[in-house]
Amino acid sequence: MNWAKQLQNIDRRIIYTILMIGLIVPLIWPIGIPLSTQEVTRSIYNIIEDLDPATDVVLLSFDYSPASAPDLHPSSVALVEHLTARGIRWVAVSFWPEGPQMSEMIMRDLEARGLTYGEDFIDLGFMAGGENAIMSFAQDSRVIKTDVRGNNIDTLTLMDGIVDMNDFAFVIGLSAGDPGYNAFIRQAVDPMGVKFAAAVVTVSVPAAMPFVSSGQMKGLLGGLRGAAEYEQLTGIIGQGAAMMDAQSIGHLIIVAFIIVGNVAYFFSKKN
Amino acid sequence: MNISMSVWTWVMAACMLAIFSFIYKENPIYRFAEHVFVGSTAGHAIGTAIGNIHRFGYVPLTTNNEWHFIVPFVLGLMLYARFIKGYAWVSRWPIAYLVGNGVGLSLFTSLNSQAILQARATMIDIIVHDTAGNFLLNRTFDNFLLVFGVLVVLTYFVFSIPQSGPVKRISQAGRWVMMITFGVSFGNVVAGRISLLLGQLTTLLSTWLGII
Repeated sequence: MNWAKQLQNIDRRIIYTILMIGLIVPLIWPIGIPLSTQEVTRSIYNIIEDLDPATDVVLLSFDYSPASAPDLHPSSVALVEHLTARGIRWVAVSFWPEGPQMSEMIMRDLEARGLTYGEDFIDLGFMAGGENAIMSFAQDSRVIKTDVRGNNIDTLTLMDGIVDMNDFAFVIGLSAGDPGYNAFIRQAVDPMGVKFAAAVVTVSVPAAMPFVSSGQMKGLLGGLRGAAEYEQLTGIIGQGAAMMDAQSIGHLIIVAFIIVGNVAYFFSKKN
Repeated sequence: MNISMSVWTWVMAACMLAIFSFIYKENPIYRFAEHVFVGSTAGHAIGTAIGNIHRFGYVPLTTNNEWHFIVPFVLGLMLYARFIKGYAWVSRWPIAYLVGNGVGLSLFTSLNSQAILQARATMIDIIVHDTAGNFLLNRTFDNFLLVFGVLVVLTYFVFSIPQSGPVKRISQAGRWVMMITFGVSFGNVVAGRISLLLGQLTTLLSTWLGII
């Protein structure tokens, strides 16, 4: 059957064109496809909702680079917006060299809105050493002597009472690879009992899910969808929700092409 | 529409479109953008590495008189002996240290976190009731699926008994579970790539063209 053979050999440029149109149109004219919230996302939301703004400090570990930012940065922003809305102070650290760039983008925006570096949040910057560094920081959170702006951490009130990672009320790893959530689980969560959750890139979700099922991670934000769900929970709509319509349409187009390809394959085999 | 007047935004957009031009066919513009990307990434990595050596090694060594930092400096320099004919063996010492450090760091922790605790997490109630004694169908189905999946997949990898009869059927079920899992993983990979593409399209449409 000619049509079956033709369908199996659709020019990839046609596929890309249809996909591009399917992605661009919902970005310009949003549809508003409803989004359900998963339990793993709600868990993180509930933990932050239960934190005490007067005493609790959260640690955010920015372990991703600009290459993974489209997938993971919306989750970081959604989490920071929630912490900011609740008045919870947070400390940023990074075990990836590009991590401080990502946290700096968020901090610059918060400072422009009137929040104060040193009081509402601080950035300890990048610590070299990979999993070694995570272990070292977990056991002694004062091992980094100065923050990214050159301030001695002993002069920063946000670090008062912080000796090791257990002194943070909640630790969230924003992970795009290694070192990431795996290293935190091995070096901080299981040996020390640190309360930990992660936001990961979509690709890492299947590998990270067993750690949520076992209770080693308290929750999980999976890529762009995780960010969209979290924005829906907090009511602070950002990039995650804005891109979900396009993401859904993109997935439908790919599913359609897979079905078309398989139908054509079976018909051509039948012949 | 509010097109950006920043030169760097236009450079960014031009680079993105140059890379996207590969979709049509490979062309010199794509190759130029690709080479610029590879070169700038390498340059950035070298700059970052030198900065890290300076911040985390040289400054503590010279400013804070932390003389023990001389050890990683020497070990790091010994690595470069690999490129000197006749002295490549010198680089084996720092490599041995790195391997030993990595094994020591992860041997127990990997076994504990990724094997023992994960195995413990499969020891769950297959028939689940809530605190009032009511049967929970969803949780029961989830837990049964989890335990069933783990057992059949592990059976697939048991090579010390013949894979025949009931063992073969269980092992085939394990194969199906793995194929479904690989499909899920592949689906997540596709979703991840779509997310990255969406990020780039959003940047073009909002930062460059100001349409959204």
